[in-house]
Amino acid sequence: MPKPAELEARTGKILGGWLAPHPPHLVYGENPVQNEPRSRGGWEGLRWAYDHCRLRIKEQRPDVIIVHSPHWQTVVGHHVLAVKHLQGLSVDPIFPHLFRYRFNLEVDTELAEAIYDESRQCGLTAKRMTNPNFRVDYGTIVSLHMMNPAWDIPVVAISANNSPYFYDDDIAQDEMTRLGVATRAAIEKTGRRAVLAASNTLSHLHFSREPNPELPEDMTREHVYSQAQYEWDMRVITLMRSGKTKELMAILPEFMRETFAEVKAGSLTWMLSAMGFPEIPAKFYGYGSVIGTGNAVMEWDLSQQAPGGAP
Amino acid sequence: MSFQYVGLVPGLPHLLAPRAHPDSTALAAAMGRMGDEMHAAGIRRVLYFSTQWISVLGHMLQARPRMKGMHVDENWHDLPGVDNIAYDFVVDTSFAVNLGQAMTHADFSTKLVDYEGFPIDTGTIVADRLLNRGRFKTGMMSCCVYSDANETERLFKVVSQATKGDAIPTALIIVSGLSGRYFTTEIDPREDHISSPSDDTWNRRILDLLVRQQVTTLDDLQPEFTRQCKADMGFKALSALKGAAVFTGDRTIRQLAYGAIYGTGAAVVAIS
Ligand SMILES: [Fe+2]
Repeated sequence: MPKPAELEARTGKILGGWLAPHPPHLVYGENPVQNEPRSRGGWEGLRWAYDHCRLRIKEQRPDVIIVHSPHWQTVVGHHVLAVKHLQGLSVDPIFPHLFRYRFNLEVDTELAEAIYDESRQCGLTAKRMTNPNFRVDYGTIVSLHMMNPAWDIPVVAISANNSPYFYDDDIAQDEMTRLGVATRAAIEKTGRRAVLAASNTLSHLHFSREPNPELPEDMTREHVYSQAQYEWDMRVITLMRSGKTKELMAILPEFMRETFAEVKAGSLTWMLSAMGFPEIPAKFYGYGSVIGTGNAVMEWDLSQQAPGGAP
Repeated sequence: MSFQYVGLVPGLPHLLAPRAHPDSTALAAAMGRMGDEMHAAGIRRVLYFSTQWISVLGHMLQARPRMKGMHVDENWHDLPGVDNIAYDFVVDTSFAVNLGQAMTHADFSTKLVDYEGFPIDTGTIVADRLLNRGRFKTGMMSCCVYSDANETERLFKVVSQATKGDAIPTALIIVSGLSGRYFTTEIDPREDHISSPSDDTWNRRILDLLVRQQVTTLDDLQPEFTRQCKADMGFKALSALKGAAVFTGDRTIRQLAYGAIYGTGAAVVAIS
């Protein structure tokens, strides 16, 4: 008879999910060795919010971190990184002066294959990314670096299929919801203890020029883009903090329209779907503007749930 | 005259695939001929404006003297024969500096980029592979998503003006598709076609108007074409062509090829 611990090891589970925004400014402000440009700091409110995530990941020791990134945009289906080892130089095409990062990451290919299989079974077009020369996008890298700068936990990255921009909001939400269900099934079947990351900014209207090109980290020039955008972010964060996930999902389309919210890319919907749209309060660790956009670091902690149990 | 030669070409990697659909093969062959024409006409430099090089904080200009490497497309990373695309650009950096100064002077937020590993877009790489073959120096300009039709036209007026004062014969190559409704599922490349008959009709109509230089009608139709056919980047290509003053009556506009690439509309149009 298997011991309870062995039983638990067989059925995978999602330990938690993070809203893990990816402005490259956060890595730039931190000055890790992997990133070539140097800074005097900046955006500490957001960067230090990630300390909570780093601590939780150290405590939880998940088998894998799975990230869904808007900056790996695919037009035909949902793609999953499925190469064991990837390394190279990732330069942000928008902020190349801030982000030129030498990445070196291990992919949990067994789980990646399972996500691919489950996605297809859910009726989605899916694809494995098996090209070893692939350049990993900065959204994936920034979220993963900020969550676990040691890079000592395997990862899986999922592309943002651009259906939210190609079709109407309903079809897009449905695609991302099914992708979440597929991800959860793959985690459970492969027995992984997984942490999820929705690599999304909230409100996404931003300055049309860098406020101080001479000193990008000039915090005297950083502020919310508009009061309306700020109030939208607070409305959304309040729903997250109070666990009103149904209400949150209901207002997302309006939020996307009003603030150009990056959640439109589907990362948040994917993550909440994978977690079964949990009606639990998300923990808030920090909010900050980056060239005017609204960003929050937040955690949905599912670690106390039974394996495979509905939230 | 500022640009001695102007071209509108597609930029999807299928054009480089060894076993492509006949439409892609024909489009690629037309781009090869276009490159030869440019060479025969004495062109020594190409400025690429690709709808796949997207910027949001104004415009960017490539300013790294040599860009050489292997490119993997984020979507078509496993396309047989073109999963890894070699590229090698010799960039005319002083041209980039001149354009940058002119654009800044005209109040366009402009940035020169000179970084190892900067991700050159698939469109520019595909176009260069087919047109250039080591014959022309290059320039590359990004497509700012927030520049509307008027801004784009104004931008190209500025760029044309700046090129006028330069002695090196230069071509402007706009890398853009027409209708943008690609197939969203895997297809057999042999069965490629324009994904909707209405898109096909629209593309042909737009091309006919282009060749006949019916710029007023094109202007009127640009928003509708964009809405109906998800035209590539709102068919900013038209605004760029207008800014580059190709509809002045003293130019010949020829359609060299038209066809489908993964459901989207693609054409090779030469203006000389
Ligand atoms: Fe982003």
